[in-house]
Amino acid sequence: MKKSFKVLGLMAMLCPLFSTHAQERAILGKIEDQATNAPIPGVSIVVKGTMNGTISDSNGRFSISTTSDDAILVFSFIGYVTKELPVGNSTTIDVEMTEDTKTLSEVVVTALGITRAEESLGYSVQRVSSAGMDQARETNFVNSLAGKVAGVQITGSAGNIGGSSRITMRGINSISGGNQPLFIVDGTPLDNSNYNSTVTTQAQGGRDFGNTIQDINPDDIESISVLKGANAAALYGNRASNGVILITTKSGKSRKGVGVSWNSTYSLEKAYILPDYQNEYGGGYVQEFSTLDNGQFVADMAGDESWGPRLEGQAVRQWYSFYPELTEYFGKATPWVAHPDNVKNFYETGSTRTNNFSVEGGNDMSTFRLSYTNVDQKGIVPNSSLKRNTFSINGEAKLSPKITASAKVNYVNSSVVGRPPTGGWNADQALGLSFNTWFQRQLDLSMMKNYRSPTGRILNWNLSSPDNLDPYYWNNDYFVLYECYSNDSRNRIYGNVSLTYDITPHLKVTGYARTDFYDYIQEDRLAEGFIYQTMYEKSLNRFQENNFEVLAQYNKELSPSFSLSVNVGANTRRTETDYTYGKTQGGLSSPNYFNLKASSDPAILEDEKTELVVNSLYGSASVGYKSMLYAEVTNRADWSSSLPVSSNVYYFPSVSGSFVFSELLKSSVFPFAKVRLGWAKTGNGTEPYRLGNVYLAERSYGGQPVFTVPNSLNNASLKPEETNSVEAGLEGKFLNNRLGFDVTAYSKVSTNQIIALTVSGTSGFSEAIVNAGELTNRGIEISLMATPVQATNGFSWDIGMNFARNRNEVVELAEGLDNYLLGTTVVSINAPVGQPYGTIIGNGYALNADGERLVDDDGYYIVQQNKNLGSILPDFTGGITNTFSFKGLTLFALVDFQKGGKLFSRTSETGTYSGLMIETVGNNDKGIPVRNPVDDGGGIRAIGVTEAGEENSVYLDAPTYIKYLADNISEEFVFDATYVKFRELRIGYTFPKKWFAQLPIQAISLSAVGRNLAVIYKAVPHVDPEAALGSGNFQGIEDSQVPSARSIGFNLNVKF
Amino acid sequence: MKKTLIVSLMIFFFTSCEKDFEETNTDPNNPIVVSTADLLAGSERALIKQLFGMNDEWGFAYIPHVYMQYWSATLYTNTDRYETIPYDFTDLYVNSLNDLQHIIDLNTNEETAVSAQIDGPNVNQIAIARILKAYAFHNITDIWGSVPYSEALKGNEDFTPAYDEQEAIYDDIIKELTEAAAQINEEAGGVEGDIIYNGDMALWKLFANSLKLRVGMRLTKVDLSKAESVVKDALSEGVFTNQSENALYAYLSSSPNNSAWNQQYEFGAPEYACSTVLIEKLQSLNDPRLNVYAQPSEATGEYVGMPYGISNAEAGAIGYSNVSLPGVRMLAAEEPAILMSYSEVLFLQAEAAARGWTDGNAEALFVEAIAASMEYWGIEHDDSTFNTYIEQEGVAFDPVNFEKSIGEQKWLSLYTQGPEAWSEWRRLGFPLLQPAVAAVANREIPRRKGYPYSEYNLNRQNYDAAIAAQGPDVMDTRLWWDVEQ
Repeated sequence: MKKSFKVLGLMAMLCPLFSTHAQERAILGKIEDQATNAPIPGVSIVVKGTMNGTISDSNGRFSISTTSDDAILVFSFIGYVTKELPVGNSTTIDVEMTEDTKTLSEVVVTALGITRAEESLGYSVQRVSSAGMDQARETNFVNSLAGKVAGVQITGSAGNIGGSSRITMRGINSISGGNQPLFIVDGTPLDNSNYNSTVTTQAQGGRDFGNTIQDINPDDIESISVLKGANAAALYGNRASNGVILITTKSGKSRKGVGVSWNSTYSLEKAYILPDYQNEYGGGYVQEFSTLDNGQFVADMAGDESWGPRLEGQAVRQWYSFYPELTEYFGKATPWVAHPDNVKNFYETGSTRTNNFSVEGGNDMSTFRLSYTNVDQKGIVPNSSLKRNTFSINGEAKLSPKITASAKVNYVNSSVVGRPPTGGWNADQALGLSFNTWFQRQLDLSMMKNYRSPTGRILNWNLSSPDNLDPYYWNNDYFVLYECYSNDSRNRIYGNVSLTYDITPHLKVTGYARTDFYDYIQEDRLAEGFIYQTMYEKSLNRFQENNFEVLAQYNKELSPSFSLSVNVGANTRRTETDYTYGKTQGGLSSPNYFNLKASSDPAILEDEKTELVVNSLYGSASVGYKSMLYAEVTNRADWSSSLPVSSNVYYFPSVSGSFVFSELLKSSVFPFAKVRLGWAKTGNGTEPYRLGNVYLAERSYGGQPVFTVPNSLNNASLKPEETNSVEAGLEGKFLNNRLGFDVTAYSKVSTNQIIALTVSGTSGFSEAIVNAGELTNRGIEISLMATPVQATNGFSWDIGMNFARNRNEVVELAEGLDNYLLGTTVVSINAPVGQPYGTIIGNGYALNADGERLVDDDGYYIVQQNKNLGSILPDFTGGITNTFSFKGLTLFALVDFQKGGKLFSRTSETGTYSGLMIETVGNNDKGIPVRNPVDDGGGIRAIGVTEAGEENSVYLDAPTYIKYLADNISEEFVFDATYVKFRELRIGYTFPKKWFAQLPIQAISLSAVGRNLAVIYKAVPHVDPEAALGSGNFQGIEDSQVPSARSIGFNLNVKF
Repeated sequence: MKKTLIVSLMIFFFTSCEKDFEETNTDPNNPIVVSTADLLAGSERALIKQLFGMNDEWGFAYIPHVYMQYWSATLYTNTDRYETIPYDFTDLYVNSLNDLQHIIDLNTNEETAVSAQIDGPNVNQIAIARILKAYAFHNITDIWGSVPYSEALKGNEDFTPAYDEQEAIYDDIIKELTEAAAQINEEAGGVEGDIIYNGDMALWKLFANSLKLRVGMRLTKVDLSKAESVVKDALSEGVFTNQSENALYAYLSSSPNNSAWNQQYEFGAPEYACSTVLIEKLQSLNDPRLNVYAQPSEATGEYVGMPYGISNAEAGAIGYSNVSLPGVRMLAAEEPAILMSYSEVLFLQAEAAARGWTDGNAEALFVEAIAASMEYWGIEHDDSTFNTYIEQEGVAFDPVNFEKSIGEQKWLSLYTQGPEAWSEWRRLGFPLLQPAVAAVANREIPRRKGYPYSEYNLNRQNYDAAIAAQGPDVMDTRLWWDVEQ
C-alpha cells in the first residue's frame, strides 16, 4: 500500500521534468495504392518504437514529426501489407502500399498485453469485438460474451439485477478450487470474487449479490482477447489454469480537435420465463372447506400448498375478510376464483437507462480519453434497483523522445437496493417470492400491494388461523420486499501508471504500478412484523491487490527472413483482504433500529484478514521465419507465500509453433492456411493459511470462551495445482477470404489438485486439504466464418459460427477415495472417479432388467438410492451470429445453444409437491380428473411393473402420488438443460452525414437492441435452463430462481 | 535512467525475501494454542447440540421423541411416518468427539501435557474426555449399530475408518468407563471449562459408574451374564444417590446457548405437539406430570393430543392451535438437557433387584424412581395423591412382568430424553406402541437409523462391510443387543 503510493508520487513528481521538447522536424508525404495509384486515407503512420503517430487524410497525405534520423516510419492499414521505411535525412516520403492478399494481418492482444499478428501465434486467441456490448447491454458484462466465443461457457442469471455470471473455459480444471478465468484490464488483474453467502451457494435461498467483475464498463472496452488455452495464458503462471480474459480499454488517439461522444441506451425488461401453473384448485390440503361457527365456508389460510377446493366461484371467507379494518371485506364471503396472472403481474417492467459521455483527444505528444458512465436500473422485482457510476481516465504523454508516461485509472461506484430473494425455502429467512414453491394459486397478489392496512397492520395471506392473524410460514411478499430488503455498495479503483523508456528503437523497458482496490458493504435486515426475529447484518469486505512490474521488450528483424522478439519481466504481487461482519442476535432492541448496536443478545462477529505475496520472473522469446514459420518459448517462475517455504517456487513453461503452409502452396484457392501446435504447463495457486493447524473461536458459553478444532485439516506440504496442456490447431481461408475456419483440439491433464477433500467425518474431520487427483479435459473448438453475400451495392451478409465440445473426466482422487462431494441439496453434485465432474447423484426410479420402472404392491414406485442421474456439464455449446449490412444499416443477430447437461429443478420438485404446477391437474388415463377421489375414478397410477412383473393397477390419490414422487424420486426433477436461445438482436442505422451537415455533429447512429429475446428450444419445464448458484463449483441446481427477463430497448450514439 | 530501472527492479524483488513469506502466511485470524478448558466447553456443547439440540438445531432427539410417540408433527408428518431412513452421525465425530480426542492427546503428549495442566490435572482431564466419549459412542451405537470406533478420529492417518461391531464397541465402552473412573484423582483438583459438573471429579466418577450401569443393563437381551456382572460392578463402585448428582447440561438464556425447544417454539411455527398417545396415557393414569409435559391447546384450553402417524394433509387440516404443545417449562430457554438422571439409576436398580442380581427391594426402588421423576419436575410426591397414583392398576409394580411395569414408567419418566427412551423401549418391549397408521410402505416402528449418505459416498467399502455383517441399511434391522425374543 504505502509502497504503491510512493511510486505513484514519484512518477507524478517526475512528470514536469520531462515536459520540454527536443529538436523536431516535420516529414510530409502521400500514400497511394500500388495497383491503382489511388490515395489511401486512414493509414496509420507511426514512428517505430514510439507512440508518435498520425493518420493519412482523405487525400492520402500525412505529416509527422520526428527528432531522429534513425527513425523508421511504419505504415499500416487493414487490407494492406504493413510497410516500414527509414526516414534518413529526407523531409518528404511518398509511399506505395500493396494490397495484402491474405488480408489476415489481424492483430491480437496476447499475454502481458503484447500485440501480435494473429498469424504468428502457435495457439488460439479469440478476439471478441466490443461492438454491441455498449448497445445491447448487460449489467454484468460477462453475460455479453455468451455464445460469442467457442469453448467458453457462461451461465448468468438474466432476471436478477447485477446477479452472478459464471464463466468457464475449456471445461473444469480444478476439483475444489476456483474455475473462473483471470480477468486482466490493461494489464491489471481484476478481482472477481463472489460475496454470496454459503446459504446461496448451497442452494438454500438467500440473495445473489453477483460477482465483482461486473464493475467493468462496456462503454470503455476497446477489445477483448480470450486466452482460453494454456499456451496463450502460460505467462500468467500460477493464475493461468482457467484461462485469461484480456480487456483493452479505449484510449485517446491523435486527432484533429476534441472528440466528444454520447452513448445512451434505454431498455425495458420483462420477466419472460414463468412456470406453467394450474388454475383449477386453490389453497389448502383438502378439497373441502372448513366452516366457521356461523356456517360460512372458510379457506385454509395457514396452508401454503394448493391442494385445496376447486376454484368454482364458491362464496368463501378469504384472508382479507378477517381484518376488521378492511371494512369493505370484513366478515364477507367472496368468490373462490382463479387469478391466472397473479405471479406474472407481480413482476414489474424493469428499466435500464445508461448514459456514457466521453471526451478524447490527442496530438503527437499526448493522448487522453475521459469517460463517464451512469447506469440506472430498476429490476423486475418490486423495490429493486441498481445504480452505477464509472469514471475512466486514460492518458499517455511522451515526456521526451525516449520516455513515455501513461496512466489508466478507473473509478466505479455502484449501489444496489433490494437484491431479490432466491430459493424456495431458506432455513432461517423465509424471505418470500415462494410463488413456485409454497403458495396458494388463487391468491390475488394485487390485493396485497398496499401491504399495511389503514391501522398500520401488515396484511398477510398466510394467516395462522381465523382467530390468529399472525403469519404462519410466509409474510406478505410486498412487505418483505419493501421493508426486509438488502442493500450493498462498492467503491472501486483500478488501473495502472507506467513509464516506458525506449533504450533503442528495438529495446524498451516499462515499469508499471498497478492496483485494484475496493470496499464492499453489504447490509440486510428483517423488519418488525417479519415471521422470524427482527435482524440486521452488515459486512465490510476490503480487497486490494497491488502489482509492480518491470517488462523489457526487444524486437528486431535479424535479417530479411528472421525476426526476433524477446520479453523479460518481473512482477511482485501483494493481495490483501479484510472482512468484518456483524449480525444481531435475539432481535433488535428497538423496532426497526437497523444497527449492530441494536443486538439484544451479543451479536455474532466475524473478523478475517488475509495476505498473499507472489513474486514472479518470466520471459518469452519468439522467432519468425519469412512470415511462414514461427516458434515461441515462454517460462515463468512464481514464488508464493501460501506455499511451504522449503518448496515455494514453481515453473510454468510453454512451447509453441506455427507453420503458415499456404506460403509454400502459393495457391489462389487456399490463400491462407496454417497449422499450430503447442504445449504448456500452467498452475492454479492456493489460498493463504492452508499449511498449519489452528483453533477456531466459537461464540462463548456465557463467560466461558469456546474453541474448537477446525473441521478442515490443513496440509503442511502443499503444492500448486498444475495443468499440462497440448493444443493443436488448423486454420484457413478460401474463396477470396469469404469462407474461413479455425479448428482447435486440446487435451489437458490437471494434477496436484488442491482438494478440500470431503472425507468421512468419522475421521474427526469433514474435510482435508490434500494434493491429489487428476482431472482431464479433452475438447475441440470450431469457428467458422462466411460471407455468403458481398454485393457491389454495399450489401453484405456475414455469418459467424462457433462450436465447442469438451469431455471431462475425473481420473483419480486421493487414495482410497472414489468420489468428491461438491454439494448436497435434495440431490448431490459429485466428482466421482471415472465420471465427469458434476455428476448428479440422487434417488431415482428402480428399474427391472427390461428397464421398466418397478412399483411396489401399494402402487408406489420403488426407489433406487444413490442413482447416477447424469452430469451437469453440457455435451457441446456454441453460437451463431448473422450480420447484415447495407449502407448505414446493420442487423446483428445472435443465437446460442447448449446441448445436454443436467439440471435439478427445485421449482419442479417443490412446485409439484405443493400442487402449484400444471402437471398436478388434468385427467388420468381413465379420463377422470386426477384430483378426484380414487374411489370416484380419480388418482394417478404409477406406470410400471411389480417385482413379479405385473403391470401396476393401483391408483393413488393425486397429492399422495405427487408428494411421494417429490420426496423420494429426485430423478423425476432432473432435466436435460439443452437450450437454443435467441440471445441478441441489434438493428442499427448510421445516419448519412449530409442530414446534419450544418450541425457540429460527426456521426449519429440509432439502434434497436434486444437481449434474451426468446427461448427457441428448452427441455426443462417451468424455468430457464440457465441457472447459476453464484460463481462457485456447486452448480446444476435450479433453486427457484428469479425468472429470466427479456430486454428490449434503443441505443443512440452521437459523436461530436 | 537505466540505473534507476535496475534499482527499482531490485527494490521490487528483494524487499520480500523468503523469511517474510513465513510471516505473511501465518494465520492472523485464529490462534495456534488455546486452553484445553475452552476445548472441553466446546466439545460438551457440541455433544449436547448434536444429541439434544440447541438454539436453531433440533439435534437428533426429536426423532425418537416422535418414534416413541411423545410427539406428533403438526403438519409435516414424514418423520412420524418413518419416511426418512438415514440420519447423519458425522457431526458428532467432527464437532465433539474429535475435540475430546484432542483433549486426551494434549494431556498425553509430553510437549503439551505440562501446559495443559493449567486447566486441571492431566489424568482428570483425560478421564472426563473418556467418559464423554463413552457417552457419545454408546448413544451413536444405540442409534446405528456398527459404527467407526477403534479406527475413528485418526485424522489424516485414516480417512476411511472401518466399522466396529456393536459388541466390540460395548466391550470397549465398559472398559473405558471403568478405567476413566479408576484414573480420577479427586485430591489433585478439578478441571476448568466443564459445563456439566463444573469440574467436580467426585460427580464425574458417579456419572461414569451410573453410565456403566445403564450400558451393562442394555445387554440383558443378548448376554445376561455379562449384563449382570457389569451392573453389579457398577453398583459396587457407586452410582447417583440423589437429584443433585444428575448429569445435566445447563442451557443459557440467550442465543446461541438456549435450548432447541425454546428456539423452535419461541421463534418458529410449532412443528410438534404432544401426541394423543402421550396425552391419553397421562390422562388415564391421572398423572400429575401432564401439566408439566404439555400445555392446554390454544383454541380450547383443554389437553388434546395430536393424532399420531397421520398424513400431512390430515395433520395440516387439524392445525397446531387445536392441540397441546409441550409444557411451558419444557420451552424455557434454560431448561437443562438431561444426560442421565437419578430417577433412571433407580429404575435400573429396581430392574437389577427384580432380576435377582441384588438384594434390593425391586418394588420400593421402582416407586422411588417414579418419585424421583416427579421430584425432578417439581411435583409433590409424598402425599396420598402420589400413593393413589402408584397403587393404581397400570402403575403398580408387577414383579412377574417387571419389564412392562418398568418399561411403561420409564417411558413416562424419559420424556425429553428421546435417545434413551427409544433404546429402553427396544430392550424392554414396553410400552406397547402401534406403528403410524399412515406409515410409509407399511413400515414398523424403527429399531435403528440408516447410515448417512455421506458414508455411502465417502467410506463405501467399510459401509458395505458393515451392512453385510449387520443387515440391510434399513430401519427394521435389529442391533446386536436388540435380538428378537
